[in-house]
Amino acid sequence: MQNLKIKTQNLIKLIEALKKKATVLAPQADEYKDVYLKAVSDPSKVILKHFKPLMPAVREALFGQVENMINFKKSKGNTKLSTVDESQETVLFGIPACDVAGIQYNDVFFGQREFADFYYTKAREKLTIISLACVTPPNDNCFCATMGHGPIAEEGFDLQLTDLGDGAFLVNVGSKKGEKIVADNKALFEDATDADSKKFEEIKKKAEKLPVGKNINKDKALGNMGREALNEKMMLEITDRCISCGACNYTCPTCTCFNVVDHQKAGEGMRKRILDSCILGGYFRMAGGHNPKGKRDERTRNRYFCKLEWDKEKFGDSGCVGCGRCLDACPVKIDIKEVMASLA
Amino acid sequence: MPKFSTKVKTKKGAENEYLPRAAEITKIRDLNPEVKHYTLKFKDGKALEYKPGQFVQVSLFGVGEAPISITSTFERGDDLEIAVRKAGSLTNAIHELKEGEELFIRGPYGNSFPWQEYKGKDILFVAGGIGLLPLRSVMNAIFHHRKDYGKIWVLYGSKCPTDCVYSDELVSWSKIEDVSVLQTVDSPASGWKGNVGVVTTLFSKIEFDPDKTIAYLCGPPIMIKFTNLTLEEKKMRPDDIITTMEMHMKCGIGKCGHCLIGHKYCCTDGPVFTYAQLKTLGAEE
Repeated sequence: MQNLKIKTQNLIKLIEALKKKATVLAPQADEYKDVYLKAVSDPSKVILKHFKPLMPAVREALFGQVENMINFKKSKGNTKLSTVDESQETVLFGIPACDVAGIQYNDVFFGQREFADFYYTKAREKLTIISLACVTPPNDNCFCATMGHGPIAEEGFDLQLTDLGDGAFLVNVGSKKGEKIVADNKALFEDATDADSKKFEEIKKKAEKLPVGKNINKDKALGNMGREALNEKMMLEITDRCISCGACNYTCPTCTCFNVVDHQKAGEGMRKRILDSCILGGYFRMAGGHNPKGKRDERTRNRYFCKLEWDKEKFGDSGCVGCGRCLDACPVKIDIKEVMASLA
Repeated sequence: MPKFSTKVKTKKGAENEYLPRAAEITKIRDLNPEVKHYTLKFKDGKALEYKPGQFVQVSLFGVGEAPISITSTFERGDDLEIAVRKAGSLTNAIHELKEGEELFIRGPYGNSFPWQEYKGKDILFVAGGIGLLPLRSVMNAIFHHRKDYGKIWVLYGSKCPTDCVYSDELVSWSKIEDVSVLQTVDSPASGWKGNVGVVTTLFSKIEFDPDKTIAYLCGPPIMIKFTNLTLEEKKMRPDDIITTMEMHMKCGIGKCGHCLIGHKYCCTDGPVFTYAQLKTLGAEE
């Protein structure tokens, strides 16, 4: 499909139109000027500049921090169960390419494989992704280009916007859903001229060359993740500094682990799942007390192997999409880029 | 070419795999002071088809859910049977239940013990403590087809005589033709006439041909470790040593992440692994 273009004022009108049928989650500033994804009520308040949300976009719309699963009611020795389906039409607007890649990972992890996850699948069917490409890195910890997941996405979005810098955005259409949005709002879009497309290519070239992350040879680093080759010293240094807070897991767009708990009050309650972290000491502990990964180095090792080696084995690519959030959030500044640099 | 992909095909089944079915407890028996055995019947009347070595996710709403091994054998027409040791809040709450009350079950999950492909082989079962619970499913499958197999040994170790589970069945198994049941305890009580020592001390009492024997093990990690070493010393191939693993689990369907053994999920890739597999996963101990 030919590239399209949308003027800034029309983009605001598009958000207005989308808002009628769905909850639009878009970057907006709160009273303290902190920017995060939240439901749009006034489209003119949406910040139309590329940014990296503090929490990955997948958490906001698909796999939440806490999710209701099963409602239960007890009476006279019988328990009545009902599946909770809280999915609703949602648009993720203005998310970066690393988050688009994160959702692609979750699509495979939750939506495919042996068992499809009911809650994820339901929410995913109702999700539209309108991403906004990063023309400059949102912060110094970004390294999506190194990992091959940005800064401008190739796929995984319904629509992708790139700021052309002249009051208009170039629009890439990535799916049937995206085509439908364009068809339903024809008057807001225009065809991109050759000059626009040329400009887009230039922006893309420049963005990919920006110093996002260290100069790491990804393939070499991942290839050296093998058990024997892994730099033991590096691993121990990480373990020495790690304080087992779990922030890296909670902010990672491809961390999928969860815990399940029942909350009950007077015979009525909810089974919920809560995002979990393999860095935490009790993560692997079994009833009765046996803990197969009771030592911190066993758990940090688990995290790095999971991200950089096992995911590659299972899903064809490393689970790290280069968003840099683990470093953004880490109180002791453990840098996954340094781990990779030590291997390459 | 998508960035992420999988070759694993998605199973078509229940719409919400996390939603369990209600089952009535039709019979409870005490296996030892810590372990109870439950026979279950699904309230919707539909039976569960399962293979030896598989497990179910057992729920008591308001308390929680946990993976529990199936100890019965579908092959011979058993109802669903599980055995539960008091270990945490959920299992303690399950122990409070009475016959006629309900539990919620989903599954069965996991791979299973290979056994039909070992027709003609000699079979060695080695169990420690409640390791006998999951092994019972494959033991009864093999005993049900007794004539298809060669010699059979059952080596069973427990901490003390009162810790021993399925004592009555150990006696009836020993009466099956060409089945030797050998028992040992770590610390004997007065009146115990049998062997004293860890389960590997029983190996001096039997003679088996490592080339035609398949070993099934289940027990605490330390027992598995030393039994594996002993069997290797006796020239058994790691491929012929089969064990079933226990890990913390929340989902049973390869999503929650808690049961990783190396890069494998105990729930969907296991819980049954060969010693050879465990070696490659760095989890042989």
